[in-house]
Amino acid sequence: MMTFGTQRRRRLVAWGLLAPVLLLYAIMLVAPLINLLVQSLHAAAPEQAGGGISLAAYARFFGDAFFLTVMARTLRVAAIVAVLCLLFGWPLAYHLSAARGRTRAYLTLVIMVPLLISVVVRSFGWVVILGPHGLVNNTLMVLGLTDEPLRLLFTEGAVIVGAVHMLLPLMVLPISAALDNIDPAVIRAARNLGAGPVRVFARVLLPLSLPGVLAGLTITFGLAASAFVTPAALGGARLKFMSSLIYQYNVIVLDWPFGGALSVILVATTVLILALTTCAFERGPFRAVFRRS
Amino acid sequence: MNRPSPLLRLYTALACVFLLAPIAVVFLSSLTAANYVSFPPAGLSLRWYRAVFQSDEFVDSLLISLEVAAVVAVLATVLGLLSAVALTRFPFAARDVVNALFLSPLAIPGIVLGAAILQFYAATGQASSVMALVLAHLVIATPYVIRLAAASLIGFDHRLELAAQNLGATPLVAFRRITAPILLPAILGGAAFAFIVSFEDVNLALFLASPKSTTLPVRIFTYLSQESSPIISAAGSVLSILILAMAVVLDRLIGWRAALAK
Repeated sequence: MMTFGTQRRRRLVAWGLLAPVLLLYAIMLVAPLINLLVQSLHAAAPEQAGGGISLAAYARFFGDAFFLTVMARTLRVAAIVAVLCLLFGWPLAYHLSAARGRTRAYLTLVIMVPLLISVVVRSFGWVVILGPHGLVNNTLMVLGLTDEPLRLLFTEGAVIVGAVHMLLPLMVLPISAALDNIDPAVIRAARNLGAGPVRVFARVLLPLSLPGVLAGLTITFGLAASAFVTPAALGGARLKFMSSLIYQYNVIVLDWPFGGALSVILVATTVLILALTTCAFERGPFRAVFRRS
Repeated sequence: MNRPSPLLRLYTALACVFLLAPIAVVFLSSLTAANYVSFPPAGLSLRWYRAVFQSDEFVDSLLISLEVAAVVAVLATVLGLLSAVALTRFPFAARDVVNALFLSPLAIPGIVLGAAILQFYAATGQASSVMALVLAHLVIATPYVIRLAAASLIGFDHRLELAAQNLGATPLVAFRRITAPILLPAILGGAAFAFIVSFEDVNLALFLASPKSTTLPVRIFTYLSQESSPIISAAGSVLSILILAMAVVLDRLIGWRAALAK
């Protein structure tokens, strides 16, 4: 469109255009994250420690059974949520891929709209559904299946239901994108060679959808492990997760070293688990699918 | 692929009910006439919407949210557009690395970024303020603008501009009559997306909330962690209606899937 003279001048202009965002990222992303890491390496009371590096905050976390229980719960719930999203999301993604015209448009809309509604609102919706006077308990009582409201809210189950609802679309979209990429001729060829529906699913559709499955598992597990609002609203104050500890120690206790260490531990374990999962997929029986892309 | 079997269609219908139920329940329970949250709602009335708009807390939070989101939308669009032009029109040695860097804020859990920014503000002696929140939201909103604008710039055919100039248009006229109208949907779509990202955010806002910078999602969250009142349904419905209105604008400009496709 415009001419910018020499190569060197063009490069200067490009960096000039990038400068504002680079500055923003440096101040609001890189510096805070480095600061967080550095703070986590301080002893609990910086004025006593004399500014030296200390692993006290990490030792406190790994030396306390309570914190380890919270971490185990966080990772367990995130894994259950990711797997449930996969089981419930795959058929939905398949239907979305196969649908045409109006059905496809409406289905896309139904899957997308929940993504736009604030997580605060969606969590409250589950509070209303699962609460003592909510939809489920009212129905059960009208049907005479129970005399008094069941305690559904403030349980791990409630957190799992809310998180699956929050993350299901993020599993469906990448899987359906992967299924969309399958050449219909491949499926026709499998059928012509005598494969029934089960074989087509197990030998063609499922393997070729694995890149989408991996993307979906990565997104849902990562977001479930760090979700704050859903566990807080549906799990209540007593059921602690890593995210609730991060909030508590940073905002209420104002313990920077421990608050920082909790954040670092959450990110590190999530990244480690996701890296191992990716490795397993890329070296598994269907590794050829991943090499192609 | 085959026509979906009846079993799959039944399953999908149930899944759709699951996806929409909590949202519908919030809307319907906001219309209750009773003093407590129940489903189905007891009686119909708009009294809880009146309560929301008569509450200083909710009205202040709504105004703060709108103000922050509007400023974020404008700034993110300008910053994102400049970067997108640089990334698509100029040669970069490691384009993939640079692109990944620009999307990196989206890979960091909101709660961790919130804690990091809170600690950083404390370390540098800054108080939580509306401006602090705007800067934090810019980090998570700008990547979306960059992505949308870059996609549109890559798809833009340079020769259209050259053709206009060959036919006698000055560069300015060519830009105004050809380039701008073609890129405008992506630019406005990016702005709408940045607005929604900021307006919906609760993870960063929770960490940076002060009495003067408590956004509507944070206000709703503090209410719902203390009690279960129909006013939460009404405030949540107001929040959702505003976002859905923005989403309709976004859809008209760039289409749903383009905006959310990864």
